[in-house]
Amino acid sequence: MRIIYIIVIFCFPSISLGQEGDNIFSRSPYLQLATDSSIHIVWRTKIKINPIIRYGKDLGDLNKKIGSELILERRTVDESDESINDELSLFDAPKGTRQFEAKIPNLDPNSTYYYSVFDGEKRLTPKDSSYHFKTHPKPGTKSPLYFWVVGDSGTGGENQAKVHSAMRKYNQFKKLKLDMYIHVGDMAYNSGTDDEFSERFFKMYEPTLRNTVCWAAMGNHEGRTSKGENGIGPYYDAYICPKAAEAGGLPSGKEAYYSFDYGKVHFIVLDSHDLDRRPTGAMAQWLKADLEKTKAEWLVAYFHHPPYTKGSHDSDKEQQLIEMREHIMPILESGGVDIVFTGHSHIYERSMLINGAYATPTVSEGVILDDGDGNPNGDGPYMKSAGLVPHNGTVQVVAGHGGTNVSRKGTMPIMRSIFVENGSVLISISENVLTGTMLNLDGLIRDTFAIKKEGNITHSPIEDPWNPVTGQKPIKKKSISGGMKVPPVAKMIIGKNSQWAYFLDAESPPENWNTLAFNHSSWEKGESGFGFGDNDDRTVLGNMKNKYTTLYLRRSFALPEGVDHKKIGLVVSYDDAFIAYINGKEILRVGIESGNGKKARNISAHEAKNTFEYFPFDASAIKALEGGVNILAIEGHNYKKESSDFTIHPTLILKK
Amino acid sequence: MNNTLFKVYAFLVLFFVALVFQAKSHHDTKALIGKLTKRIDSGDSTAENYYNRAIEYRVLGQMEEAENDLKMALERNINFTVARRELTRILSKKGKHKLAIISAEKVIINAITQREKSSSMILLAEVLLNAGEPSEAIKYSSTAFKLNPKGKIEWYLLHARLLREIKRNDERPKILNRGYQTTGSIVLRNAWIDSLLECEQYEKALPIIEEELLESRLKSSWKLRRARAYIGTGNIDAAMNDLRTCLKELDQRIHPKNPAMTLIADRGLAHALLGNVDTAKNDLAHLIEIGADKWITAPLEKAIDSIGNQ
Repeated sequence: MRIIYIIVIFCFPSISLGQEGDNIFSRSPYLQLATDSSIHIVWRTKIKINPIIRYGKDLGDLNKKIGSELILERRTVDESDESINDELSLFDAPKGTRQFEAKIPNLDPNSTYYYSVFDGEKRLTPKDSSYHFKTHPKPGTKSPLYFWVVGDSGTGGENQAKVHSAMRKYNQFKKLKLDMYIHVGDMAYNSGTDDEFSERFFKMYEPTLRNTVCWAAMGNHEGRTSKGENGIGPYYDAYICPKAAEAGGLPSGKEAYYSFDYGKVHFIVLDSHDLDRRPTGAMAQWLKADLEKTKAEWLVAYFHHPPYTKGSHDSDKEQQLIEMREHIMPILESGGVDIVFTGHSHIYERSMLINGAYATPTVSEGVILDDGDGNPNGDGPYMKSAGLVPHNGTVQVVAGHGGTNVSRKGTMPIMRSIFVENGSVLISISENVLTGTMLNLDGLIRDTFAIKKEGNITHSPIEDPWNPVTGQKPIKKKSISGGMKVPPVAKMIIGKNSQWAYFLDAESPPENWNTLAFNHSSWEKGESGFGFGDNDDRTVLGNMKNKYTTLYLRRSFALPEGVDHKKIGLVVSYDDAFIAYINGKEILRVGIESGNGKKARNISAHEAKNTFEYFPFDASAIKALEGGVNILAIEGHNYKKESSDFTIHPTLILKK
Repeated sequence: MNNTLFKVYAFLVLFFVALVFQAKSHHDTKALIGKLTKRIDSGDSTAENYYNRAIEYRVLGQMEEAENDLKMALERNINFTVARRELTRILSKKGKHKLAIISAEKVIINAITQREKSSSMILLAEVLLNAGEPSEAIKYSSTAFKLNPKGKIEWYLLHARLLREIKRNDERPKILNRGYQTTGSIVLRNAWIDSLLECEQYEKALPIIEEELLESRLKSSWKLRRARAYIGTGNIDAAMNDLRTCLKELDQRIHPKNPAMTLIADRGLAHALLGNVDTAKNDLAHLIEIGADKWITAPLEKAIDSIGNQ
């Protein structure tokens, strides 16, 4: 019985234990719209109160007061209540809900204040130092900034709680205090209803929200009940966004997209879900104007739909994502954006330093300005010019891993760091360095990167950047026309007629098919050689002719101990051409001028004639070898579909 | 465990399974389409399911499928206004203007509140504009403003565009300024300044432009505006100087391979005003090639034409 009761409590928290019985708040106090001289405190009750905020710089002496006459009260619409107009009504809050929005004006910049909510003389919040707020520094002044970035978190589940808790413990351990919290959308699954907001956002993050402003961007799930066009819905009830440039930037006239300043950092928030994303749309026009105006030294943009992702969503295929890349990114980069945070795709993906990657599908060639890892303790931070310089490089961060199920469809080629696990991102900006840290739900740091701005930095796009599939920079092998006479063999590492895994299809194999990590258990198995048409093949590929030109092979091997790597080589019988890889790295290209897989070009004809040729390992092939298990992967090509024969029979030898 | 408790327990287990299934599957667009298709195929062919699938098809750019599903949704619920609005937009986008107009008219008939009625009028005005009927369209955008005088940013932009289409340019500054005063949108303020320049009200526009030039980090669009005002007031040398510095900044901002559309429009206009007709024409051709609509190309076309007429 106890178990059942626990399950009931867990399933229906709102009816359990009368947990709101002693608590007058149906939404505890939280902060909104901070500037260098003001802030908003918002809370909800289920009953009528005489709302008063007392505040001051000393917790023991809250010597200033905002009375009910200056506190906006919004309510659920009651048909019998004609006193309430559209702007004061709440969209779908439970009946009897009252939302209070208190603007605290005339504050000192960059200052901490404590506050308490009262009902007349009755204190409703405890005398607790966690009920405090800090105003922004004056725009344009230097001030360090530390903020939390979360996306796609609003499940109300265990992982969301763990991600939140990991951030709080990390900050406690490091003695760090958030200056703000950025949410890139999908904060209240499944439809962003008022109840979902209360349970899955406000209740979940309550200890953080009472002293940290959450600046939000709307996700598609909130978009099911809230509309950017008219600013109506539970999302717009929850947030007070600066549509009139109250916190810096230019007035957008809409809460759906806006900007704000924090010292020398300018933030831009866009609605990627339900507004016109075209360059002619009002949002893009506002963005261009806002970028032209700002004189900040750092530029941070965020919105829900990622321009680059292969997580649970694919930015090469989905309309909103494509439009954000093709229409909005050119405007942002022409304005000198430094970093873009998004969500929607349930994964953590962080890019190299990129510029001009607007094509569909996204490619990495010619758009990467720095293909290092950006880690100050690794390849070093990404370098940019001081100030805001157009097209000087952007880092993209997909932080859709804040609490919901994570998954991955593939590999976005501009990414440097990819983790399929829940977590969040912490960003600090101090002077000329921005540092990002991905903290997973267990509190482990999984990625660190930095951008440093100094002097005048000019980048040239890298033609062959680091490849996130292989984890290496591609080394272009020159195609050779043939091998050498087979030398005396000391040992066969992979012998003739060995068992291989093979893939033969009109479609390309998965993109990481040639790496050690790839699992080929679903591939067919067969003994070498492979082919048809010339009676020299152990595994005959009867359906290849007129259908396919390429066969993909994989086989693992381990090197004998103490082996001299310079004596290793491939011995292959082939018709017509092939490319060989060790652990995902191309080591040999025979008879194929350029490209791989379906993109292989200029393939030469070559007859096997039942003979083998020898290809000794060069330095790059030796470097690709691992100490334990290795993968030899080979793509064998026929020069045309209609060809009368095909053969690939690879072996790996140790010569005498 | 007695029978009742077992039922409660079973219900809760199923409830959890359903929650997990929902949480796992609803985030992937294709998976969601698959899930909705299964529901529809198994008899749960509600208007909502068709509508939801249409929205996911739209996300993937599969407009044909989206259109079909919206029609199915409306067959099941003729008063499903959200679906009809969506269908209207898709029909209009696909160039099925007559059907789009009929659909928009149905949206108006179904509208109940003032807010719904006014936004339906705007929908019909948009559809009529796409159909090449601006004179008819402006009747509906005017009605929308009568029903909801505050309007919305997009309504003012649409109305101003319609005024241009029907050659009532002189009325544009007034509506755009009203929009700016009502909404506070900087987009309407800038559109108002552009309309002042088009209506040759240079003296009114210049002080605002000067102030913006002092305050802005990137100045090319404001230099371009000032150059237009200078040309209008006969200050040609100053205009040429502004245009040259404008182009210098644009060279930095425009990505050589993937330029932003509005920046090409600015560059083309600067070249046209400098008399570099061929370069301006190249930019115009580029804009048309990448799908810029008339709202963006009109000032450039006008500038090129006026040089041709000189």
